[in-house]
Amino acid sequence: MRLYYQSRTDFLAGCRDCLPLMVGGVPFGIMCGVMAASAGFTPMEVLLMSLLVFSGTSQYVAIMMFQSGNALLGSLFLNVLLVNLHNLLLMASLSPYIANLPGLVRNLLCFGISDGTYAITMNRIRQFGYSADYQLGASAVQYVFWTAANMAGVFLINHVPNLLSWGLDFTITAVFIAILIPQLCDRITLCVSLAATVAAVLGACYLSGKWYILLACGTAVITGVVLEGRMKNET
Amino acid sequence: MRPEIVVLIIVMAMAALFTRFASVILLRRTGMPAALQRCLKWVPVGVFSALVASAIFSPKGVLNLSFQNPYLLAGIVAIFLAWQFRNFVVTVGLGTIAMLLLRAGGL
Repeated sequence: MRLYYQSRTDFLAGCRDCLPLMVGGVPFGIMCGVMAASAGFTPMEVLLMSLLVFSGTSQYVAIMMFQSGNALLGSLFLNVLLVNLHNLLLMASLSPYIANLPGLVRNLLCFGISDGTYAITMNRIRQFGYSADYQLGASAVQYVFWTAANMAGVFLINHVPNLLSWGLDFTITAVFIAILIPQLCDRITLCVSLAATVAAVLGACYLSGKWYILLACGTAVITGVVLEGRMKNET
Repeated sequence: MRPEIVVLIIVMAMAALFTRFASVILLRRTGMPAALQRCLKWVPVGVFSALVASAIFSPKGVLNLSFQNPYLLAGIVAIFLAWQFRNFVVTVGLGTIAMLLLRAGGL
């Protein structure tokens, strides 16, 4: 079986360039496995989840909802959709390169997209132009490391039982903070985040279920679009 | 594997797959409209702000801004760490330790 599409060299270069990203990805994956197991998912369920969903934030959100006994399928679908919506943007920017590739390669590239793969693929495009094999290599490394890290987490928990009762329910929040804060690098994004925060707290107090997330998203979009429009008019 | 969990995982997978395939399949000919692009780029910040805000300001579904709220205190510590170090392990590791210390201190 051949893992690459045309160029083995490009595939291996994609694999290699992805490895430094794994320094951050592996702890994220291990933590995700630990949280899943402590929320009551069995090892096989965690394996299935990481193989099919392959999205850290989605898995954290699902674990959080499952833990709070709030995992209704409709709202789970909606929340996973929301935390993944930015994939639409990543794929939209890559689609000129991908849309006309043969079906299997195109589907693998779509399935394997992640923030890390996107970042290094764009970097490669800037330097040498697009290579499907490069992107496949990057995705393959992310996929294998992600699943392995999840499973490592699942088996680690057997040695440190009752993690949740120690107050580790805060860990998921810390994960979200570690994802959010580095994104707040300009004034508009900061304002958008603050507006979404206010909307979320009001929503969490007065709406049922997870609707506050949708409310905060709507607020974020309106705030961002308005502020950005106003900035353009000023300049 | 419990059947209900398998269903839950398949639902998650469908949502995630949609976001990965939709751009390439649906917008293959037209491309993503610029207006949609301008809106979508704010969604991640909105989602993560919401998840963090509800978890630290209203952990039990009611607003709790007091210093008796360990989630708020640990959240402030984690936000400070994330802002200072921009490092996943530092933020999650030390943030969690802060929470454990608060719990050990009786909060």
